[in-house]
Amino acid sequence: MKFFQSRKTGTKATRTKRCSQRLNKKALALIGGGFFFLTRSKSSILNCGKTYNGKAVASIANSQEQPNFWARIDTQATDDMPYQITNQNPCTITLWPHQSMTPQGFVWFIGITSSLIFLPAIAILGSPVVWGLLPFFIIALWAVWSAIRRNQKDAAVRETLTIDCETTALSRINPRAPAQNWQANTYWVSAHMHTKAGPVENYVTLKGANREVELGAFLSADERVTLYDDVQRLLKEHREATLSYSADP
Amino acid sequence: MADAAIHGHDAEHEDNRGFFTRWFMSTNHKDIGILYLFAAGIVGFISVAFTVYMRLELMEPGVQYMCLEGARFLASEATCTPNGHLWNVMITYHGVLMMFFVVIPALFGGFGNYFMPLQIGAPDMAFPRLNNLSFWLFIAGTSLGVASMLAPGGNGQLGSGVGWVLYPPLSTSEAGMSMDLAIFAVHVSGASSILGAINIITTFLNMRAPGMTLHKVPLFAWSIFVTAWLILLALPVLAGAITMLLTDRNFGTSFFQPDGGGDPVLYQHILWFFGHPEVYIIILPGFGIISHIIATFSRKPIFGYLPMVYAMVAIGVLGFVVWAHHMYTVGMSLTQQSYFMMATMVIAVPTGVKIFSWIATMWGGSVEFKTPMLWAFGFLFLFTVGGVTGIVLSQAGVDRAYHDTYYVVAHFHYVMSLGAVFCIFAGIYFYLPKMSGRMYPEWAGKLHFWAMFIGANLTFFPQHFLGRQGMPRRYIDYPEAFATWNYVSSIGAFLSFGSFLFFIVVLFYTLLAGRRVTEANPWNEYADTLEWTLPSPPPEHTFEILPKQEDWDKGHAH
Repeated sequence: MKFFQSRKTGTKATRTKRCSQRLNKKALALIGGGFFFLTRSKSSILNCGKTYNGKAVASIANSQEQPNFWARIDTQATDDMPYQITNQNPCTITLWPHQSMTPQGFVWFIGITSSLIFLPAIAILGSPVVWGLLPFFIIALWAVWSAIRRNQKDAAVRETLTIDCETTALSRINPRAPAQNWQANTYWVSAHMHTKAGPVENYVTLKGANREVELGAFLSADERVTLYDDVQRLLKEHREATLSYSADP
Repeated sequence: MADAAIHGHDAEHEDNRGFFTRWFMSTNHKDIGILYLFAAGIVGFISVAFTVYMRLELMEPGVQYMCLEGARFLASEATCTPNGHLWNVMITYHGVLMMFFVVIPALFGGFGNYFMPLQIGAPDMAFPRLNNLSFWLFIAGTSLGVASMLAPGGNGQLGSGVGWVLYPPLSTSEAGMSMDLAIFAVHVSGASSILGAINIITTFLNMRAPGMTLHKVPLFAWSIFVTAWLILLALPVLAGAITMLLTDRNFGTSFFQPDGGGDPVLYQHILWFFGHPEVYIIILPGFGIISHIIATFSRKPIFGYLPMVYAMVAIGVLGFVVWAHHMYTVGMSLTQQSYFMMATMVIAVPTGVKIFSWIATMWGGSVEFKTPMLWAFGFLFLFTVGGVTGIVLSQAGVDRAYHDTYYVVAHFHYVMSLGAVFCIFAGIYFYLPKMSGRMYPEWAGKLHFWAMFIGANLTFFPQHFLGRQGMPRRYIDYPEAFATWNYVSSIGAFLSFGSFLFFIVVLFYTLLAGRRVTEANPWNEYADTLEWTLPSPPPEHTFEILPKQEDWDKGHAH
C-alpha cells in the first residue's frame, strides 16, 4: 500500500501529462482521419483516445442501419439520440433516455393547436361572450404546453461517464432529485453485463471503489450491448495506456 | 447514478396489489382502461333503458305509460294524463349520458387508455396519477348527471327536460337545481376529458418507441391522438358556453338571455362549434379499431396507411368549420348557408378515403367472418348509410324539410348507434381475449351481432320513412298516420335491447368461465401491433424495457 502511494505521489504530474499527451496525439490523428467519415454520417463511432482501427470503420459502416443512438463526435447532440461519445481527453460518454418529440415537433404542435383553439374567438370578437370563452382557451393551451414540458423534464435523466487514465467517474443528473456521483480508479474499474439477471435485459454495471453502479438502464437492450462493448474497450485502452507508461523507465 | 440492482428482477415486478388498491387507487393505464369500459357499460345500460321506455311509449299512438298519475311499465286501463316533462327528461338524459358518459369513455377512455400506450411501446401514460384523476372525475360527473335527473327541476317535477344541447332560453328558464347539476355534470366530465386528452397527447408525442416516427404509428394510436387533440380544441368551448349559462341562470348575467340583451343564437353557434367536433371525437377511435380488425381478418396489411392517417386529421380539422349545418333554420344569410353546405360536403372526401381504403383492404384478401369482423362489416355498411343521409341533410334547402324530423334522428343514430356502438362491440370482441386471457364463445358473439344488426336496423331504418312523412322529433305522442313504422321501430328497439342483455351474459360467462387463451396472439399474423406481442392478459408492467423495432416495424403497414 505504502509502495503504491509513494510511487504515485512521486510521479503523478509527469504521469498524467504523459498519459494525456499520448491520448491527445492519437485523438488528433483520429479526428483528422475521421473527418471524412463524420461528414458522411451523423451516426459514427470513433475510438476515444486510440488510433483508428479498421474493424471500427467496418462497424461504423454497418452501424448506419443500426438504431441511431450514436451522436456526433465533439458536438452537442440536438436530436433525440440517447448516446454520445466525445474523443476529448478525458473521454466522455453521455447517455439519455429516448424522447420521441423533437423541439421542432413541439413548436409545430403548439402552433397548430393555438391557431385552431383561438379560431372561434374571431367569431365572437366584440361580444361579451369572448370573455366567457377566452379564459378556457388560455387554460387549455397552458395545460397542454406545461404537460409536455413536464414530461420532457421527467425524462431528462442524463448519465455522464468520464474516463481518463486516473479516474473513471459517473454522474447522473436526475430530473427531480439530487444528482448522483460515483468515481473510482480507472485501473480497477470493471464493466459487467448481466444478460438475464438484471432488472432489464443486458443490464450494464460498473464495479469500482467497493460499489456497483448501473449504466444506461433506460436504453434499449441492443443499445446496451454496444454501450458495453464501448465501455469495455475504453477501459482497456486507458488501462493499457497507464501500464505502458508504468513500463517506461 | 442508481446503485445496481442485479437481483431485484422478480421481486420488483410481482403484482401484489390488493383488490381495493388495484381498482380504486389505480395508476395503471390498463386497469384504468378496464375501469372506463365497465363504468361506460353501466351508464350505457341506464341510457339504453331510457330508450326502451321511450320506444315502449311510442309503440302505439296516444300516451299509455308516461302518465302524470305515475310512470307505468305495464299497460293499464286507468286514465292517463300525458306527462310531457317525463318524456323530455328521458330524451335529455339519454342524450347527455350517451354523448358525454358512454361512448367517449368507452372508446377514448377505455380502449384508448388500454391500447394506445401498448401500441406505441410506452410503459404507461405520461401522467399515471392524472389518469386516475380523469377516471374519477368521469365518475363524479356521471353521479352529478344522475343526481340532476333526480333533483327538483322544471314543471314542478324532477329532472330537466331541455335536450342534451341545453339551448337557452329554455335552459336558462328551467326551474329548480336540476339544470345547474346538469351543467356541473358536463363541466366535470369536460374537465375529465381534457385532462385525459392532455395525458394522451403527451404520451403519444413524447413516448413513442425509438424508430416509431409519426408515419409509422399504428392507426388506432393515431386515431386516439387525433381524438385527444379534438377534445383539447373543442371541450374548452363547451366549458365556456355552459359556464355562461350558469351565470345567466344564477348571477343575473345576460350572455344568452334575450330579455337582458343576450343572444340565444350565439349559444347555438358556440354549442355546435363544440358539438360537431364532438361527433368526430365519438367516431374517430372507432375508425382506428375498425382498421386493425379489417386488416387482421382480411389477412392483409391495411390499404393506404398514410391516406388513412391524413384522412383522420382532415376529418378532425374539417369538423371545426362546418358547425352551422346543425342550425340552417336560425336565419343565416344565403352566403353563410352556402359555405356551411359546401364545407360539410367536403367531409365526404376524407370519409370516402377511409371507407374505400377499408374496402380495398378486404379486396383480394382472405376474409374470415369471426365476430369482430362481422361487427366491422356491420359498421362499414351502416356507417356508410348514415354518411349518405348526412349528405342529404347537408343540403340547406332539403334540410328545411327534414330539420327536427325523425329523418335526422335516423341519420345520427346510423352514424352513432350503428357506427360508434358497433365499433365498441367490435373492439370488445377483438380485444377480449387479450384483455381477459379468455375467448368468448364464437356462436354467442355471432348471435349477438345478428340480433343487434337486425334490431338496430329495424329500429332506425323506418325512422327515415317517419321523417319523410313529416313526423317531428322530441314528441311524446303522434297522429295515427305514423303508427305503422313506429310500431316496427319499437319492435326493433326491444330486439336490440334483448341482444344487449344477451351480450352482458356472454361477457360475464367469458370472464368467469370462458376458454383460456394464453398465446400472445389468438388471431393471426396480421394482428401485428405491439399489444399482440404481450402475453394474454398482459402483466401489470409492460414495455418497461423499450421494444425492439423488429417487434412492431413490419414494413408493410406504412
